Amino acid sequence: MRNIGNSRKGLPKRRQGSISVVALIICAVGTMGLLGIVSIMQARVVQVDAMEEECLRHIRESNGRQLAKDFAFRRIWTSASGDAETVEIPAGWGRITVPAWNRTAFTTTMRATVYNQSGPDPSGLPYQMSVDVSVFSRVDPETGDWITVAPRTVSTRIQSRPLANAGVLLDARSQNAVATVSGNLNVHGKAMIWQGAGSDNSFSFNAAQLYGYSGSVAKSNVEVQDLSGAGALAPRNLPGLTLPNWFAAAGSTLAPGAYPVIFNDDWAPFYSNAIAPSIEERAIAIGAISLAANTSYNRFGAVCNGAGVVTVDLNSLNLPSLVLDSPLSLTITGQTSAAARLAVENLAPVVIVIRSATLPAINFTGGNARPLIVALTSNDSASLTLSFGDGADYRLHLLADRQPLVLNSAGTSTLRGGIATDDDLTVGAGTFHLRAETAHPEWFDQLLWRSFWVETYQQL
Amino acid sequence: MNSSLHPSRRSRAGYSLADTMIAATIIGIAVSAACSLTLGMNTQDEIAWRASRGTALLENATALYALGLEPATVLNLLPADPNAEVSFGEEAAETIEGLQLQAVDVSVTTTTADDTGSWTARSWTGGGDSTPPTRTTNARVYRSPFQLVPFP
Repeated sequence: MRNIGNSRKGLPKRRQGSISVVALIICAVGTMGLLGIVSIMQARVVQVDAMEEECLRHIRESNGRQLAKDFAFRRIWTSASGDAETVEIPAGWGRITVPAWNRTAFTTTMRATVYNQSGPDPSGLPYQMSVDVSVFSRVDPETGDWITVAPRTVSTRIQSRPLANAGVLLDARSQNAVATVSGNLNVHGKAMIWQGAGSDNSFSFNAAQLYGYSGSVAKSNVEVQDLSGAGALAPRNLPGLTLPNWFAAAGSTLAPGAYPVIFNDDWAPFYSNAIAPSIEERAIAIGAISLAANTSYNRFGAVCNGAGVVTVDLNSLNLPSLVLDSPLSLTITGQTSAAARLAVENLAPVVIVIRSATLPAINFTGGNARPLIVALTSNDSASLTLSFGDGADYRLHLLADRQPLVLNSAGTSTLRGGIATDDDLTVGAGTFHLRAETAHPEWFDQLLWRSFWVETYQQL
Repeated sequence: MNSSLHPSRRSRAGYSLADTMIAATIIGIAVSAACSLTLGMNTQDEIAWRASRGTALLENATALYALGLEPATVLNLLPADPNAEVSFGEEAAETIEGLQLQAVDVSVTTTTADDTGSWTARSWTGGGDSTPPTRTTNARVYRSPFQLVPFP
């Protein structure tokens, strides 16, 4: 008898159908799993392809940032104004748009609000001029045309700081690539040096910290010891190319490291733009008196006998700033008592600018608590000797532009302020301690020469 | 009576040889397809991994150059990869609208699989060559001479 309801394989038809459904479900689930894996792999392939495009976009953006930095160095901070401009790297490897600007980076009095600490000195806020540059990185994959919607905005910040007043006590660069800084000089702070690859500078002194300039810094002839004289100092920074000196090399006959800041007689970018950045012009701007060597003058503590002999009395309360042209002899008289020091220590800074190829020496007598900047330049190779007495404690910022200096002390002398030089600096006699101006460094900020650096900062 | 105690011959019949053969064939096809798919997936995964690693090397190489390192130094810094080769072209000074930059071509060639074929114009072509397939990505990198440079 036929067993109605059973399959021919001995199972009830209902049960046979259940097995088929389960098998189909398993197949469906398996197929979905396989499709999932395939989809994931496809997504991975698409991602890898997109990563390559993203990488190329990053490279275009990086190129744009480099373009912005170069633009800032070569155009913005060397000009008082400029029109909006779009600069494009061929073959679509970078594109920026720079807005018009009409400010002078070199003389701005605006302080930075954000500081990445990539500059030479990480303490405090530098002066800053910022220009927001649009950096493009997206191109149409089909046409290769730039997509100009929603570019990245990068703030190009041109920052400056008077290094000689900002913790960098010795700022030694090379005017002729063979400069020497040596002798019993103890820098109780940062010493910053320029040592280009092709230069033959020689640095032999003691310092608390060592920093370096220039694009290709060689270690040869850099024998800066720590303050105990027990060990060679290693530089603490990644040196960046700076700054006015680099352009001086590119735009004039001056060598890399030149520091033509006392008079703006040979530095085309600033001279042509007439933005008055030199120390001489700054001194005149604050009321300096210009005295030629043959001038007879005797007022407010400044005496010139008409034959090139000049004396400056730092105790005179009305002493003006001075611009001295070719004096033959110069004596700067300081204080000899605590009362005298107290009387002058809070007076406005005095700037004494000296241009002379004939001046052999400057005698500094006593000590000094008066804010004082002495800026020296000449166009010959003769050294200028600065003489101090034993135990002299001089509040003094010293700037030397193409002027070899010899520091002589009758014993041990202390200078409170920075030294910025692009030529030889030698301690010929005695021992010198260079310490920071700590009372009112802000008084010197507007007067001292600033060094520049540029950083690009992402606007978030 | 007899039929109730012992199922009929017909009702006791199992799978025939033909059933078994058909089922085995279907299962075999499915298993071989799954194996092939797995192999393909693994190969594709390897390709994707190598390609992404090559891209990462390219990005790092260009970033280090932009930071100011010399090409030889960059090559020494990058981790060795048996399947990717980074190469720098000749460094050149390039003036762009008065700006003076340094530029160099950087390329990464990735051996994407131990098989044959080639990656050209964003698609895989060829096959059967004696050399393994490679994928090359080129970029031209620029830097300002004012970038930071490490103290040697």
